[in-house]
Amino acid sequence: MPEIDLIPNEYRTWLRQRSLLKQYGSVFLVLNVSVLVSAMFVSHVVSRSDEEAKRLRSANAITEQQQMQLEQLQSQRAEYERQWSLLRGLRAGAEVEDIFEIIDRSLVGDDLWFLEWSFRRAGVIVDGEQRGIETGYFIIVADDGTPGNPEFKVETHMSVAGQASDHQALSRFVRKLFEQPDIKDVSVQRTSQSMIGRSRVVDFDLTIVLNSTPRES
Amino acid sequence: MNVARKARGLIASRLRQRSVGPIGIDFALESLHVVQLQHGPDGAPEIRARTSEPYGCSRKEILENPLALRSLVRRALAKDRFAGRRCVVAVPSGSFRTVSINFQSPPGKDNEAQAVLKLMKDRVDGNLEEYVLDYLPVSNQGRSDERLALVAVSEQRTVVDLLEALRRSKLDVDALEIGPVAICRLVGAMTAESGAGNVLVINSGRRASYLTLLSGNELLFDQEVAFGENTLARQVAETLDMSDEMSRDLIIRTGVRARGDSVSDSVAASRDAGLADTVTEILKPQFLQLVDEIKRVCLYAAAETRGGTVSHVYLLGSVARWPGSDRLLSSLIDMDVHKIPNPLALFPKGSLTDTVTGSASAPEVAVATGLALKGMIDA
Repeated sequence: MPEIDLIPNEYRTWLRQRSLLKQYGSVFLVLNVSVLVSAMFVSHVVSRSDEEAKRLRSANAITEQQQMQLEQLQSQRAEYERQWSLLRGLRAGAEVEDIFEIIDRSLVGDDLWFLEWSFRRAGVIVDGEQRGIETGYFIIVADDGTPGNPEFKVETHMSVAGQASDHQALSRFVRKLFEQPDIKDVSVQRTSQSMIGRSRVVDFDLTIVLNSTPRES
Repeated sequence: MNVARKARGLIASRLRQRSVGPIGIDFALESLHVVQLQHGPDGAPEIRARTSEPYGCSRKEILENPLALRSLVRRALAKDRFAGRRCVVAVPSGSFRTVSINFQSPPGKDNEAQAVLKLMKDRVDGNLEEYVLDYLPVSNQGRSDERLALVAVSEQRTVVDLLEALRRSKLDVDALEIGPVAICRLVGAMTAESGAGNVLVINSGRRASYLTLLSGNELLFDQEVAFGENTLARQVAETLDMSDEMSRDLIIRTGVRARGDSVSDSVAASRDAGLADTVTEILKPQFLQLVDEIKRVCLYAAAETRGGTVSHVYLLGSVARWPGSDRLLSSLIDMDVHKIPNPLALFPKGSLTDTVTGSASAPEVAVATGLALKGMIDA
C-alpha cells in the first residue's frame, strides 16, 4: 500500500523532544510534589516528636520533683525516727510504781524508814559503741540533723535519805535491794548516828541506780 | 495455566478486533470531512464515526485561524462517537503538488532518495530546503534501467503551519498524506476481492480536477487538469445569461445527458431533459478537454504497465454529484465510468444509521475514508 507522509523529520523530532520534555517535566513535578509532601509529613512528624519530647521532659521534671519530695520525706522520716528513738530512750527504764514496789519488797520489818527521797533520770556518757535502739541509750541530735558526740545513756537514779534502827537493818535493806533484778547498783553515800529521844538511830543517804533497759511488755 | 493463557489470548484477540483506527480528516473546499473506522468482531473494518462540518467561511480562513480551527474540530468530533485524537490528515488540495519523475539509481533506499532529491532540485522554485517532499517508488515494469516515482511536494512553512494548527486543536497527527494516496487506499480496499488492474480516478473539484492512476495497490500517476466545477458553471452562466449560483442550481437539478439516455414520459421530465441537453451542449467542449487528458493517462498506463489497460474509471468530487455526469463521460471516452460507490457502504454499519451508510453516493467522504483506512486493512 503506498504511503506518503509529508510531516518533516525535524518536526517529528521536535514533537518527540517536546513530548519527552513534558514527560520529564511531569515526572519532575510529581517528584517535587512528592518531596514537598514528604517534607511536610516529616516536618509534621518531627513537630509531633518534639511535642512528645517536651511532654516527656516535663513529665520527667515532675518525676524529679517527686523524687526530691520523696528524698525530703525520707530524710524527714529519718529525723522523726531519730526523735522517736530519743523519746523512747527518755521514757525507758523502770516506772515509778515499779520502783516503789521494788523498794517495798526490800523493806523488812519496821527498823528502817525513809525521811526523804528524790527521783532523777539523767544521761551519762557512754563509750560510743553501736547499740540497738531499745537499749536505753540515746543520741544527742544536732540542729542540722547530724548526730553529735558523745553518746549518752539514760539512767534512773533514786536518792533516798532515811534512818535505820541500826546498821544491820541498813545492811539488810541494801542486800535486799541488790537481790532485785531491776536494781543495777546501790551506793551508800553517807551514814551517821544520831539520837532520837533516848534511842540511837543510824541516818543514811544512799543512791539506787535502776536498770534502764525497758522490760518486755 | 492453559485456561489462563487461553483467556489472555481471547481477550487480546477481542481487543485487537475492537481496536479503533485513526481519525481520517479531509479539509475539503467547503467542509471538514471526518471518518473513523474500527475493527469489527470478525476483524474487518467497520465505520465507527463519520461527520461533515461546513467551515462557514473559506478554507484558507479556517486554516489560518487556529482558534476557529480548534472550534471546528471540537464541533466535528462532538457530533459522533469519535475515539481518541490520533488522526491522519490530507494536505488540502492546492497546498501540494505531485510530480512524476523517472530516475536512475543504484539499489538501496538511501541511493534512491538521493537520486530523487537531486532530480527535484531542478523542479522546485527556490531552495529545496524550503520544501517537504516524499515519494512513492513505482514498480519497474517497463524500462529496466529507469525507475518511476511519484513525488509529493509542499512548502515546509505551509506544512508546519498546518501541523501546528492541528496540534493546537489537540489533534495527534500520525501522518500527513495527500488525497490521491487516500483514494488509492480506498480503491484498493474496494477492489481487493476483484483484483482490478489499472484504475483511473477522476476527482473533480471546484477549481480543478485530479486524475489519479492506480495499478493494483500502487499509485502510478496523479495529475491536475483544468476541469473545475466553477469553470463549468461560469460557462453555462455566460451562455445562458444567468448568475453562477443559478447556473450551478440548474446543473445540479437537470444534470447532463449522454446521447442514448432515455427520457421519462412526464412533461416535467421532458422539460428537464431538454434543459439537460442544452447544458450538455454548452459543457461538451470542456468535457472533451477532460477526455483528451483521460486518453493521455490511459496511454501512460499502458506504457508503464506493459500494455495494461485502464479497467475501471471512477468519478468523484463535485461533478460526480451532477446527474448523468458518469454516463456522459462514459459515452465520450467509450469506457465505463462509475461514480465511486459510497465509501461508507463498503464497510459494515458499525454505529451509523442506514441513511448514512446506505448505497447513495457520498463522494465527499472518499478521501477521509481512505485516510481513516490507514493501518486498518493491512494490519
